Amino acid sequence: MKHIKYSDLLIVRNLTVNSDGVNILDGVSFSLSKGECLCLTGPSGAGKTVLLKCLNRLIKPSAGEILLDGHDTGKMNPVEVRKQICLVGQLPVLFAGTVKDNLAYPFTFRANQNLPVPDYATLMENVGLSPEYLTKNASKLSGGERQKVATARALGLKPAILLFDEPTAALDEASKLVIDDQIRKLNRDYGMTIIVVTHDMEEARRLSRRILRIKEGHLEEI
Amino acid sequence: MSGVIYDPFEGLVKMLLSLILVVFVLFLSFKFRLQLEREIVTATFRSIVQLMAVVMVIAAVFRSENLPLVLLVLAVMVVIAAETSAKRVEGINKPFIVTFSAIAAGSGIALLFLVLLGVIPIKPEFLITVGSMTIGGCMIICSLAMNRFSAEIKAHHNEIETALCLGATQEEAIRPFLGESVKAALIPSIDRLKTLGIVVLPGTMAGMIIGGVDPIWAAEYQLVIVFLLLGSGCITALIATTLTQKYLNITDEI
Ligand SMILES: Nc1ncnc2c1ncn2[C@@H]1O[C@H](COP(=O)(O)OP(=O)(O)OP(=O)(O)O)[C@@H](O)[C@H]1O
Ligand SMILES: [Mg+2]
Repeated sequence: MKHIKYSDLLIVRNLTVNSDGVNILDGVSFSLSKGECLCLTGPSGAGKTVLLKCLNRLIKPSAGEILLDGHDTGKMNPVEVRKQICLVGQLPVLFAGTVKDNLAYPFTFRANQNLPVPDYATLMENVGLSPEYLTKNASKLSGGERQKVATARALGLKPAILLFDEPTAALDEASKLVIDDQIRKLNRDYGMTIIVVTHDMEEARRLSRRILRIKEGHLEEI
Repeated sequence: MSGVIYDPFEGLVKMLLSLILVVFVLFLSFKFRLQLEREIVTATFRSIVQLMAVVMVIAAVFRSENLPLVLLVLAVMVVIAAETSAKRVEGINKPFIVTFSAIAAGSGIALLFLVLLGVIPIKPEFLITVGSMTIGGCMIICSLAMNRFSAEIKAHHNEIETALCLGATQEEAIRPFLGESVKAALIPSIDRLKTLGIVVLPGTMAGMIIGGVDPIWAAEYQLVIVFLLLGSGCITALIATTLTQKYLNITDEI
Protein backbone atom coordinates (compact mmCIF):
# COMPACT_ATOMS: atom_id res chain seq x y z
CA MET A 1 0.00 0.00 0.00
CA LYS A 2 1.13 3.47 -0.94
CA HIS A 3 2.14 5.67 1.93
CA ILE A 4 -0.17 8.63 2.35
CA LYS A 5 1.70 11.90 2.16
CA TYR A 6 0.76 14.30 4.88
CA SER A 7 0.02 17.13 2.48
CA ASP A 8 -2.39 15.09 0.32
CA LEU A 9 -5.79 16.61 1.00
CA LEU A 10 -7.50 14.55 -1.67
CA ILE A 11 -6.49 11.11 -2.90
CA VAL A 12 -8.34 9.44 -5.73
CA ARG A 13 -7.60 5.78 -6.32
CA ASN A 14 -8.75 3.68 -9.26
CA LEU A 15 -11.94 5.65 -9.71
CA THR A 16 -14.25 3.89 -12.17
CA VAL A 17 -17.65 5.02 -13.38
CA ASN A 18 -19.62 2.58 -15.45
CA SER A 19 -22.75 3.47 -17.35
CA ASP A 20 -24.57 0.83 -19.42
CA GLY A 21 -21.48 -1.34 -19.65
CA VAL A 22 -19.20 1.49 -20.78
CA ASN A 23 -16.50 2.80 -18.46
CA ILE A 24 -16.74 6.58 -18.62
CA LEU A 25 -13.90 6.74 -16.11
CA ASP A 26 -11.62 3.72 -16.08
CA GLY A 27 -9.29 3.59 -13.09
CA VAL A 28 -8.52 7.25 -12.53
CA SER A 29 -5.94 7.99 -9.83
CA PHE A 30 -4.43 11.26 -8.70
CA SER A 31 -3.86 13.28 -5.58
CA LEU A 32 -4.17 16.89 -4.65
CA SER A 33 -2.17 18.72 -1.99
CA LYS A 34 -3.62 21.31 0.30
CA GLY A 35 -3.40 24.73 -1.29
CA GLU A 36 -2.83 23.37 -4.79
CA CYS A 37 -4.58 24.56 -7.95
CA LEU A 38 -4.95 21.73 -10.46
CA CYS A 39 -6.23 21.98 -14.02
CA LEU A 40 -8.09 19.20 -15.77
CA THR A 41 -8.55 19.10 -19.53
CA GLY A 42 -9.66 16.60 -22.12
CA PRO A 43 -11.92 16.34 -25.16
CA SER A 44 -15.67 16.84 -24.94
CA GLY A 45 -17.38 13.83 -23.43
CA ALA A 46 -14.14 12.58 -21.86
CA GLY A 47 -15.71 12.53 -18.40
CA LYS A 48 -14.39 15.71 -16.82
CA THR A 49 -17.77 16.74 -15.44
CA VAL A 50 -18.43 13.18 -14.32
CA LEU A 51 -15.13 13.18 -12.43
CA LEU A 52 -15.98 16.43 -10.63
CA LYS A 53 -19.43 15.09 -9.77
CA CYS A 54 -17.85 11.96 -8.30
CA LEU A 55 -15.60 14.11 -6.15
CA ASN A 56 -18.56 15.93 -4.59
CA ARG A 57 -20.67 12.78 -4.54
CA LEU A 58 -23.35 13.90 -6.97
CA ILE A 59 -22.45 10.66 -8.70
CA LYS A 60 -21.62 7.46 -6.87
CA PRO A 61 -18.60 5.82 -8.50
CA SER A 62 -18.86 2.17 -9.54
CA ALA A 63 -15.46 1.37 -8.05
CA GLY A 64 -12.42 2.98 -6.51
CA GLU A 65 -12.09 5.34 -3.60
CA ILE A 66 -11.83 9.01 -2.86
CA LEU A 67 -10.09 10.01 0.36
CA LEU A 68 -10.60 13.47 1.79
CA ASP A 69 -8.09 14.16 4.53
CA GLY A 70 -7.77 10.40 4.90
CA HIS A 71 -11.52 9.75 5.16
CA ASP A 72 -13.27 7.64 2.53
CA THR A 73 -15.94 9.95 1.08
CA GLY A 74 -17.92 6.89 -0.03
CA LYS A 75 -18.57 6.19 3.65
CA MET A 76 -19.39 9.79 4.54
CA ASN A 77 -22.81 11.41 4.35
CA PRO A 78 -22.99 12.86 0.81
CA VAL A 79 -24.24 16.17 2.21
CA GLU A 80 -21.08 16.46 4.34
CA VAL A 81 -18.90 15.61 1.35
CA ARG A 82 -20.56 18.34 -0.71
CA LYS A 83 -20.00 20.90 2.02
CA GLN A 84 -16.29 20.09 2.02
CA ILE A 85 -15.87 19.72 -1.75
CA CYS A 86 -17.96 22.40 -3.36
CA LEU A 87 -18.73 22.35 -7.08
CA VAL A 88 -19.45 25.48 -9.08
CA GLY A 89 -21.22 24.22 -12.19
CA GLN A 90 -20.57 25.03 -15.81
CA LEU A 91 -23.55 27.37 -16.18
CA PRO A 92 -24.01 28.57 -12.61
CA VAL A 93 -27.59 28.65 -11.41
CA LEU A 94 -28.67 31.66 -9.40
CA PHE A 95 -32.01 31.53 -7.64
CA ALA A 96 -34.76 34.15 -7.79
CA GLY A 97 -34.10 37.17 -5.61
CA THR A 98 -31.16 39.43 -4.95
CA VAL A 99 -27.48 38.53 -4.94
CA LYS A 100 -27.62 38.64 -1.14
CA ASP A 101 -30.55 36.19 -1.13
CA ASN A 102 -28.40 33.87 -3.18
CA LEU A 103 -25.48 34.11 -0.77
CA ALA A 104 -27.83 33.49 2.16
CA TYR A 105 -29.67 30.59 0.51
CA PRO A 106 -27.26 27.79 1.55
CA PHE A 107 -27.74 28.77 5.19
CA THR A 108 -31.40 27.80 5.03
CA PHE A 109 -30.32 24.14 4.74
CA ARG A 110 -30.20 22.07 7.89
CA ALA A 111 -26.67 20.83 7.27
CA ASN A 112 -25.32 24.41 7.20
CA GLN A 113 -27.14 25.61 10.26
CA ASN A 114 -24.10 25.24 12.51
CA LEU A 115 -21.86 27.20 10.14
CA PRO A 116 -21.19 30.85 10.98
CA VAL A 117 -23.04 33.10 8.53
CA PRO A 118 -20.29 34.91 6.61
CA ASP A 119 -20.01 38.61 6.01
CA TYR A 120 -21.53 39.00 2.57
CA ALA A 121 -19.60 42.15 1.69
CA THR A 122 -16.34 40.30 2.33
CA LEU A 123 -17.50 37.44 0.13
CA MET A 124 -18.17 39.90 -2.67
CA GLU A 125 -14.71 41.32 -2.18
CA ASN A 126 -13.23 37.82 -2.38
CA VAL A 127 -14.56 37.44 -5.91
CA GLY A 128 -13.84 41.01 -6.98
CA LEU A 129 -17.35 42.44 -6.92
CA SER A 130 -18.31 45.62 -5.09
CA PRO A 131 -20.73 45.21 -2.14
CA GLU A 132 -23.26 47.27 -4.07
CA TYR A 133 -24.01 44.11 -6.01
CA LEU A 134 -25.63 42.58 -2.95
CA THR A 135 -28.93 44.34 -3.55
CA LYS A 136 -29.01 43.68 -7.31
CA ASN A 137 -31.49 41.26 -8.80
CA ALA A 138 -29.63 38.03 -9.56
CA SER A 139 -31.50 37.48 -12.81
CA LYS A 140 -30.10 40.71 -14.24
CA LEU A 141 -26.41 39.82 -13.97
CA SER A 142 -24.03 39.12 -16.85
CA GLY A 143 -22.45 35.69 -17.37
CA GLY A 144 -19.20 36.70 -15.72
CA GLU A 145 -21.00 38.28 -12.77
CA ARG A 146 -23.13 35.18 -12.31
CA GLN A 147 -19.98 33.07 -12.24
CA LYS A 148 -18.52 35.32 -9.56
CA VAL A 149 -21.69 35.31 -7.43
CA ALA A 150 -21.86 31.51 -7.68
CA THR A 151 -18.23 31.36 -6.56
CA ALA A 152 -18.92 33.74 -3.66
CA ARG A 153 -21.90 31.60 -2.65
CA ALA A 154 -19.67 28.51 -2.60
CA LEU A 155 -16.94 30.34 -0.65
CA GLY A 156 -19.47 31.25 2.04
CA LEU A 157 -19.60 27.57 2.98
CA LYS A 158 -15.84 27.56 3.61
CA PRO A 159 -15.23 24.36 1.66
CA ALA A 160 -11.90 22.54 1.83
CA ILE A 161 -11.81 22.21 -1.96
CA LEU A 162 -13.47 24.26 -4.70
CA LEU A 163 -14.27 22.61 -8.03
CA PHE A 164 -14.85 24.77 -11.10
CA ASP A 165 -16.41 23.18 -14.18
CA GLU A 166 -15.40 25.27 -17.20
CA PRO A 167 -15.87 28.55 -15.36
CA THR A 168 -15.03 30.65 -18.41
CA ALA A 169 -16.50 28.57 -21.25
CA ALA A 170 -19.36 31.03 -21.80
CA LEU A 171 -17.27 34.20 -21.50
CA ASP A 172 -15.30 36.45 -23.87
CA GLU A 173 -11.50 36.77 -23.65
CA ALA A 174 -11.54 39.82 -21.36
CA SER A 175 -13.97 38.32 -18.82
CA LYS A 176 -12.03 35.06 -19.00
CA LEU A 177 -8.91 36.86 -17.78
CA VAL A 178 -10.86 38.48 -14.95
CA ILE A 179 -12.27 35.15 -13.73
CA ASP A 180 -8.88 33.44 -14.05
CA ASP A 181 -7.35 36.24 -12.06
CA GLN A 182 -9.95 35.72 -9.39
CA ILE A 183 -9.34 31.98 -9.24
CA ARG A 184 -5.60 32.58 -8.93
CA LYS A 185 -6.22 35.05 -6.17
CA LEU A 186 -8.43 32.59 -4.26
CA ASN A 187 -5.62 30.08 -4.53
CA ARG A 188 -2.64 32.32 -3.76
CA ASP A 189 -4.07 34.89 -1.37
CA TYR A 190 -6.72 32.86 0.39
CA GLY A 191 -5.05 29.45 0.17
CA MET A 192 -8.05 27.68 -1.41
CA THR A 193 -7.43 24.25 -2.84
CA ILE A 194 -8.91 24.26 -6.33
CA ILE A 195 -9.58 22.03 -9.33
CA VAL A 196 -10.48 23.77 -12.57
CA VAL A 197 -11.81 21.99 -15.64
CA THR A 198 -11.09 23.80 -18.89
CA HIS A 199 -10.73 23.12 -22.61
CA ASP A 200 -8.41 26.08 -22.98
CA MET A 201 -4.75 25.02 -22.66
CA GLU A 202 -3.61 28.61 -22.40
CA GLU A 203 -5.98 29.20 -19.54
CA ALA A 204 -4.82 25.97 -17.90
CA ARG A 205 -1.21 27.12 -18.07
CA ARG A 206 -2.18 30.50 -16.65
CA LEU A 207 -3.85 28.87 -13.70
CA SER A 208 -1.66 25.96 -12.77
CA ARG A 209 1.69 24.34 -13.11
CA ARG A 210 0.13 20.92 -12.98
CA ILE A 211 -2.26 19.94 -15.75
CA LEU A 212 -3.95 16.56 -16.08
CA ARG A 213 -5.74 15.34 -19.19
CA ILE A 214 -8.54 12.77 -19.27
CA LYS A 215 -8.62 10.65 -22.35
CA GLU A 216 -10.58 7.47 -22.89
CA GLY A 217 -11.24 7.19 -19.20
CA HIS A 218 -7.62 7.54 -18.15
CA LEU A 219 -5.62 10.41 -16.70
CA GLU A 220 -2.26 11.59 -17.98
CA GLU A 221 0.00 14.39 -16.74
CA ILE A 222 1.01 17.02 -19.28
CA MET B 1 -86.27 5.71 -3.97
CA SER B 2 -89.33 5.50 -6.20
CA GLY B 3 -89.02 7.06 -9.60
CA VAL B 4 -89.84 5.24 -12.78
CA ILE B 5 -90.72 1.56 -12.29
CA TYR B 6 -87.91 -0.68 -13.51
CA ASP B 7 -88.67 -3.42 -16.02
CA PRO B 8 -85.57 -5.53 -16.88
CA PHE B 9 -86.59 -6.17 -20.48
CA GLU B 10 -87.38 -2.55 -21.12
CA GLY B 11 -84.06 -1.54 -19.54
CA LEU B 12 -82.08 -3.75 -21.90
CA VAL B 13 -83.97 -2.46 -24.92
CA LYS B 14 -83.36 1.14 -23.91
CA MET B 15 -79.66 0.52 -23.45
CA LEU B 16 -79.50 -1.10 -26.89
CA LEU B 17 -81.44 1.79 -28.41
CA SER B 18 -78.89 4.25 -27.05
CA LEU B 19 -76.24 2.18 -28.83
CA ILE B 20 -77.59 3.71 -32.07
CA LEU B 21 -75.59 6.79 -31.15
CA VAL B 22 -72.42 4.70 -31.08
CA VAL B 23 -73.31 3.24 -34.48
CA PHE B 24 -73.68 6.80 -35.70
CA VAL B 25 -70.16 7.63 -34.47
CA LEU B 26 -68.89 4.48 -36.21
CA PHE B 27 -70.49 5.64 -39.43
CA LEU B 28 -68.87 9.09 -39.13
CA SER B 29 -65.53 7.56 -38.30
CA PHE B 30 -65.77 5.38 -41.42
CA LYS B 31 -66.91 8.23 -43.62
CA PHE B 32 -64.23 10.69 -42.50
CA ARG B 33 -61.53 8.02 -42.23
CA LEU B 34 -60.90 8.73 -38.57
CA GLN B 35 -59.86 5.07 -38.22
CA LEU B 36 -61.48 4.87 -34.83
CA GLU B 37 -63.87 2.04 -35.72
CA ARG B 38 -61.91 -0.78 -34.15
CA GLU B 39 -61.19 1.12 -31.00
CA ILE B 40 -64.78 2.26 -30.58
CA VAL B 41 -66.17 -1.25 -31.07
CA THR B 42 -63.75 -2.75 -28.53
CA ALA B 43 -64.28 0.05 -26.07
CA THR B 44 -68.06 -0.22 -26.32
CA PHE B 45 -68.05 -3.99 -25.80
CA ARG B 46 -65.63 -3.63 -23.01
CA SER B 47 -67.74 -1.03 -21.26
CA ILE B 48 -70.86 -3.22 -21.47
CA VAL B 49 -69.21 -6.43 -20.31
CA GLN B 50 -67.13 -4.71 -17.64
CA LEU B 51 -69.95 -2.74 -16.13
CA MET B 52 -72.38 -5.67 -16.16
CA ALA B 53 -69.84 -7.96 -14.53
CA VAL B 54 -69.01 -5.40 -11.89
CA VAL B 55 -72.64 -4.62 -11.16
CA MET B 56 -73.37 -8.31 -10.59
CA VAL B 57 -70.52 -8.57 -8.11
CA ILE B 58 -71.59 -5.40 -6.38
CA ALA B 59 -75.24 -6.45 -6.27
CA ALA B 60 -74.13 -9.67 -4.59
CA VAL B 61 -72.09 -7.69 -2.06
CA PHE B 62 -75.05 -5.40 -1.39
CA ARG B 63 -77.28 -8.38 -0.69
CA SER B 64 -74.72 -10.07 1.53
CA GLU B 65 -74.59 -7.07 3.93
CA ASN B 66 -71.14 -8.38 4.81
CA LEU B 67 -68.83 -5.57 5.94
CA PRO B 68 -65.49 -7.40 5.48
CA LEU B 69 -66.59 -8.24 1.95
CA VAL B 70 -67.35 -4.56 1.31
CA LEU B 71 -63.90 -3.60 2.57
CA LEU B 72 -62.35 -6.25 0.35
CA VAL B 73 -64.10 -4.81 -2.70
CA LEU B 74 -62.84 -1.33 -1.78
CA ALA B 75 -59.33 -2.69 -1.27
CA VAL B 76 -59.37 -4.28 -4.72
CA MET B 77 -60.49 -0.94 -6.16
CA VAL B 78 -57.58 0.80 -4.43
CA VAL B 79 -55.10 -1.75 -5.81
CA ILE B 80 -56.39 -1.33 -9.36
CA ALA B 81 -56.42 2.47 -9.03
CA ALA B 82 -52.86 2.39 -7.67
CA GLU B 83 -51.66 0.19 -10.51
CA THR B 84 -53.30 2.40 -13.10
CA SER B 85 -51.77 5.51 -11.60
CA ALA B 86 -48.35 3.88 -11.19
CA LYS B 87 -48.18 3.21 -14.93
CA ARG B 88 -48.41 6.93 -15.56
CA VAL B 89 -45.31 7.93 -13.62
CA GLU B 90 -41.70 7.67 -14.67
CA GLY B 91 -38.39 7.89 -12.93
CA ILE B 92 -39.39 6.53 -9.57
CA ASN B 93 -38.08 3.35 -8.02
CA LYS B 94 -41.29 1.90 -6.61
CA PRO B 95 -44.23 3.72 -8.19
CA PHE B 96 -46.84 1.24 -6.95
CA ILE B 97 -45.87 1.67 -3.31
CA VAL B 98 -46.17 5.41 -3.71
CA THR B 99 -49.51 5.43 -5.54
CA PHE B 100 -50.99 2.73 -3.34
CA SER B 101 -50.07 4.49 -0.11
CA ALA B 102 -51.30 7.82 -1.43
CA ILE B 103 -54.64 6.57 -2.75
CA ALA B 104 -55.31 4.25 0.18
CA ALA B 105 -54.49 6.91 2.76
CA GLY B 106 -56.32 9.71 0.93
CA SER B 107 -59.56 7.86 0.35
CA GLY B 108 -59.32 5.87 3.59
CA ILE B 109 -58.79 8.81 5.93
CA ALA B 110 -61.43 11.04 4.33
CA LEU B 111 -64.02 8.24 4.17
CA LEU B 112 -63.36 7.10 7.71
CA PHE B 113 -63.73 10.66 8.92
CA LEU B 114 -67.19 11.02 7.37
CA VAL B 115 -68.21 7.55 8.53
CA LEU B 116 -67.19 8.35 12.10
CA LEU B 117 -69.16 11.60 11.96
CA GLY B 118 -72.14 9.60 10.80
CA VAL B 119 -72.38 11.48 7.49
CA ILE B 120 -71.89 8.29 5.52
CA PRO B 121 -73.92 5.35 6.86
CA ILE B 122 -72.12 2.03 7.32
CA LYS B 123 -74.11 0.28 4.62
CA PRO B 124 -72.73 -1.57 1.60
CA GLU B 125 -74.59 0.52 -0.96
CA PHE B 126 -73.23 3.77 0.49
CA LEU B 127 -69.70 2.57 1.24
CA ILE B 128 -69.21 1.03 -2.18
CA THR B 129 -70.66 3.81 -4.30
CA VAL B 130 -69.19 6.71 -2.36
CA GLY B 131 -65.97 4.73 -1.83
CA SER B 132 -65.50 4.02 -5.50
CA MET B 133 -66.07 7.66 -6.41
CA THR B 134 -63.50 8.71 -3.81
CA ILE B 135 -60.94 6.14 -4.91
CA GLY B 136 -61.43 7.11 -8.56
CA GLY B 137 -61.01 10.79 -7.73
CA CYS B 138 -57.88 10.05 -5.72
CA MET B 139 -56.46 8.04 -8.61
CA ILE B 140 -56.78 10.96 -10.99
CA ILE B 141 -55.30 13.40 -8.50
CA CYS B 142 -52.47 11.00 -7.70
CA SER B 143 -51.53 10.72 -11.39
CA LEU B 144 -51.77 14.47 -11.87
CA ALA B 145 -49.65 15.26 -8.83
CA MET B 146 -46.92 12.75 -9.58
CA ASN B 147 -46.78 13.59 -13.25
CA ARG B 148 -46.43 17.25 -12.50
CA PHE B 149 -43.88 16.55 -9.79
CA SER B 150 -41.57 14.52 -12.00
CA ALA B 151 -41.96 17.10 -14.78
CA GLU B 152 -41.02 19.86 -12.35
CA ILE B 153 -38.02 17.92 -11.13
CA LYS B 154 -36.84 17.30 -14.67
CA ALA B 155 -37.35 20.92 -15.67
CA HIS B 156 -35.49 22.21 -12.61
CA HIS B 157 -32.69 19.67 -12.62
CA ASN B 158 -30.01 22.37 -12.60
CA GLU B 159 -31.50 24.22 -9.65
CA ILE B 160 -31.86 20.98 -7.71
CA GLU B 161 -28.29 19.97 -8.44
CA THR B 162 -27.06 23.42 -7.43
CA ALA B 163 -28.93 23.22 -4.13
CA LEU B 164 -27.36 19.79 -3.50
CA CYS B 165 -23.94 21.28 -4.22
CA LEU B 166 -24.62 23.89 -1.54
CA GLY B 167 -25.35 21.32 1.16
CA ALA B 168 -29.07 20.69 0.71
CA THR B 169 -30.42 17.22 1.34
CA GLN B 170 -32.36 15.73 -1.55
CA GLU B 171 -35.59 16.61 0.24
CA GLU B 172 -34.56 20.20 0.80
CA ALA B 173 -33.51 20.55 -2.83
CA ILE B 174 -36.81 19.22 -4.19
CA ARG B 175 -39.19 20.78 -1.66
CA PRO B 176 -39.78 24.05 -3.58
CA PHE B 177 -41.46 22.06 -6.35
CA LEU B 178 -43.68 19.97 -4.11
CA GLY B 179 -46.29 22.65 -3.40
CA GLU B 180 -46.54 23.55 -7.06
CA SER B 181 -47.40 19.95 -7.92
CA VAL B 182 -49.99 19.54 -5.17
CA LYS B 183 -51.59 22.78 -6.31
CA ALA B 184 -51.68 21.72 -9.95
CA ALA B 185 -53.31 18.41 -9.02
CA LEU B 186 -56.03 20.11 -6.98
CA ILE B 187 -56.99 22.73 -9.57
CA PRO B 188 -59.56 20.52 -11.36
CA SER B 189 -61.27 19.74 -8.02
CA ILE B 190 -61.40 23.40 -7.08
CA ASP B 191 -62.76 24.32 -10.52
CA ARG B 192 -65.39 21.66 -10.07
CA LEU B 193 -66.48 23.31 -6.82
CA LYS B 194 -66.70 26.67 -8.53
CA THR B 195 -68.88 25.50 -11.38
CA LEU B 196 -70.86 22.88 -9.50
CA GLY B 197 -74.29 22.53 -11.04
CA ILE B 198 -73.77 25.34 -13.53
CA VAL B 199 -71.61 23.66 -16.12
CA VAL B 200 -72.76 20.10 -15.44
CA LEU B 201 -75.33 18.60 -13.17
CA PRO B 202 -73.07 16.40 -11.09
CA GLY B 203 -73.41 12.65 -11.42
CA THR B 204 -74.53 11.71 -7.92
CA MET B 205 -77.17 14.39 -7.85
CA ALA B 206 -78.41 13.56 -11.34
CA GLY B 207 -78.63 9.90 -10.37
CA MET B 208 -80.49 10.59 -7.15
CA ILE B 209 -82.97 12.91 -8.86
CA ILE B 210 -83.65 10.30 -11.55
CA GLY B 211 -84.12 7.85 -8.70
CA GLY B 212 -86.89 10.08 -7.36
CA VAL B 213 -85.16 11.63 -4.35
CA ASP B 214 -85.95 15.17 -3.19
CA PRO B 215 -83.60 17.43 -5.25
CA ILE B 216 -82.51 19.31 -2.10
CA TRP B 217 -81.40 16.07 -0.49
CA ALA B 218 -79.67 15.14 -3.74
CA ALA B 219 -77.86 18.48 -3.76
CA GLU B 220 -76.78 18.10 -0.13
CA TYR B 221 -75.43 14.66 -0.85
CA GLN B 222 -73.63 15.94 -3.91
CA LEU B 223 -71.92 18.54 -1.74
CA VAL B 224 -70.82 15.84 0.69
CA ILE B 225 -69.29 14.01 -2.28
CA VAL B 226 -67.39 16.98 -3.71
CA PHE B 227 -66.03 17.98 -0.30
CA LEU B 228 -65.02 14.39 0.23
CA LEU B 229 -63.30 14.35 -3.17
CA LEU B 230 -61.40 17.55 -2.39
CA GLY B 231 -60.30 16.39 1.06
CA SER B 232 -59.26 12.91 0.01
CA GLY B 233 -57.56 14.32 -3.10
CA CYS B 234 -55.53 16.78 -1.10
CA ILE B 235 -54.28 14.04 1.24
CA THR B 236 -53.48 11.85 -1.76
CA ALA B 237 -51.53 14.59 -3.56
CA LEU B 238 -49.52 15.43 -0.45
CA ILE B 239 -48.63 11.83 0.30
CA ALA B 240 -47.87 11.04 -3.35
CA THR B 241 -45.42 13.92 -3.70
CA THR B 242 -43.83 13.43 -0.30
CA LEU B 243 -43.22 9.75 -0.97
CA THR B 244 -41.98 10.51 -4.49
CA GLN B 245 -39.40 12.73 -2.83
CA LYS B 246 -38.22 9.73 -0.82
CA TYR B 247 -38.16 7.14 -3.57
CA LEU B 248 -36.56 9.36 -6.17
CA ASN B 249 -32.84 8.97 -6.59
CA ILE B 250 -31.53 11.97 -8.42
CA THR B 251 -27.90 11.90 -7.40
CA ASP B 252 -26.75 8.38 -8.18
CA GLU B 253 -28.31 8.48 -11.60
CA ILE B 254 -25.47 6.84 -13.53
N1 LIG C 1 -25.81 11.30 -15.69
C1 LIG C 1 -25.24 10.59 -16.66
N2 LIG C 1 -25.69 9.34 -16.95
C2 LIG C 1 -25.12 8.61 -17.91
N3 LIG C 1 -24.09 9.04 -18.67
C3 LIG C 1 -23.61 10.27 -18.43
C4 LIG C 1 -24.16 11.12 -17.41
N4 LIG C 1 -23.49 12.27 -17.40
C5 LIG C 1 -22.57 12.16 -18.38
N5 LIG C 1 -22.63 10.97 -18.99
C6 LIG C 1 -21.78 10.49 -20.08
O1 LIG C 1 -20.46 10.48 -19.62
C7 LIG C 1 -19.59 10.91 -20.64
C8 LIG C 1 -18.74 12.03 -20.12
O2 LIG C 1 -19.57 13.14 -19.86
P1 LIG C 1 -19.00 14.47 -19.21
O3 LIG C 1 -20.15 15.40 -19.07
O4 LIG C 1 -18.24 14.13 -17.99
O5 LIG C 1 -18.01 15.00 -20.33
P2 LIG C 1 -17.07 16.26 -20.25
O6 LIG C 1 -15.68 15.75 -20.32
O7 LIG C 1 -17.44 17.09 -19.11
O8 LIG C 1 -17.43 16.97 -21.62
P3 LIG C 1 -17.62 18.53 -21.93
O9 LIG C 1 -16.25 19.07 -22.15
O10 LIG C 1 -18.40 18.55 -23.19
O11 LIG C 1 -18.33 19.16 -20.78
C9 LIG C 1 -20.46 11.32 -21.81
O12 LIG C 1 -20.41 10.27 -22.76
C10 LIG C 1 -21.82 11.45 -21.24
O13 LIG C 1 -22.78 11.07 -22.17
MG1 LIG D 1 -18.43 18.97 -18.86
